[in-house]
Amino acid sequence: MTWLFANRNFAWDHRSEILAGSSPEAVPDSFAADLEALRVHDRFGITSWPQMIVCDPRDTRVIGMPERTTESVTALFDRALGALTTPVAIRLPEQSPTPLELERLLLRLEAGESTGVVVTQERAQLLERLLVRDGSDIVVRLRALQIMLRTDPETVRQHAPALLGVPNDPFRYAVLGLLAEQPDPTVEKDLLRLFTGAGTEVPSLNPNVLRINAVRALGSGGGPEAIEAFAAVLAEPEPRNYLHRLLVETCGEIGARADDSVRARITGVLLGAVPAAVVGGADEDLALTEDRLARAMARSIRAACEHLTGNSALPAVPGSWRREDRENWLEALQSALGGQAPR
Amino acid sequence: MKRSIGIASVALLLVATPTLLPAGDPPPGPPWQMTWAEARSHALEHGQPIFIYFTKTY
Repeated sequence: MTWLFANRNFAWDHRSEILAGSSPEAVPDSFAADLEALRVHDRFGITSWPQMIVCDPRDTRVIGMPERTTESVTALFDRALGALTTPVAIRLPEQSPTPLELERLLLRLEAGESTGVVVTQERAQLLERLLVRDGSDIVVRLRALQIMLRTDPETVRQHAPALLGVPNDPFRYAVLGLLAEQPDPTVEKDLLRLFTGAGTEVPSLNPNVLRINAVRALGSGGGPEAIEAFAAVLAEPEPRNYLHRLLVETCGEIGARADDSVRARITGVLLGAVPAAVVGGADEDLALTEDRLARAMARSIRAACEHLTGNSALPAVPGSWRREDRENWLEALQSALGGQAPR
Repeated sequence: MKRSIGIASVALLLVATPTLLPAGDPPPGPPWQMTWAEARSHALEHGQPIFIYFTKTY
């Protein structure tokens, strides 16, 4: 077994503070180690910690990801040590920029934004080729994407449907970030595919975050199909999961510009998303946290209903979320909404 | 048998100790590579799979 330690200290994420006016021409040592670790993370789409992967060095195929138990790790090791007997054609590196060359270009662009640093047409064409070419090294492809998000977001947007299919979470997050800023109704089906398939038909190491990013990109641009996809998740409301509050807010935004039938459906979905009452137990701190999160979700539901109906006189969320408080509030809310029931 | 004991020892370290290690230091035991290029080159040369341990420090 060859052992690789990939530890992020996030210096690269704070590069603007670290550089603070110094020259970006060379990547300073202060974040060289973090950049090396980041490239390994990006190569395998890692966005949560700690994680362990065993891969085949010939084609970088992931052989397995063990759970955090000794038994799981040893079982994977035994499997991996027997996995390298099958011959695999080693792909020779293509003639393309290295990640470091692209990271330096990114630094120059960031530092030169106020002075108008531009990318030549020849280099822009190269970046686009790297972006769209399926066989490109994924780290190089991601760096090309990060540069183009600054220099040519329109071209990225045009390629968005294909780019959303790249099986790498950091890559998809970057494309989804652009779509959140510049919504595009033509990619609704692609976004819903990510939302409904994350972690199953759409392989992802962080499916909840992938769904969150897909919903942000969808924003108010979703239609009835999006509402049904959201309803399936909100049928079992989970106030501890930020995704559920985001879905509630997005339902309100979609409903604000929808027709009456869709609005009625959204109201029913929102009423069905009202979280369960908090049942106090031995752990008082846990009960207080659950109470706070449940009421935060209820406030989001109230705000979405207000957005939907224009009615600002909806009942205020109570100060605690015991069974009686919840039932009284839900009854008052349904009454204010014209007697509509969850559906 | 000896190999299994060695692997089990390392696995136990990985599962049990990450939060106890000094910031940014790899767990004790195996000869860790610190770059992808070195690790891949070493693995290809020796016909070995690569175990990658992803961590973070603030």
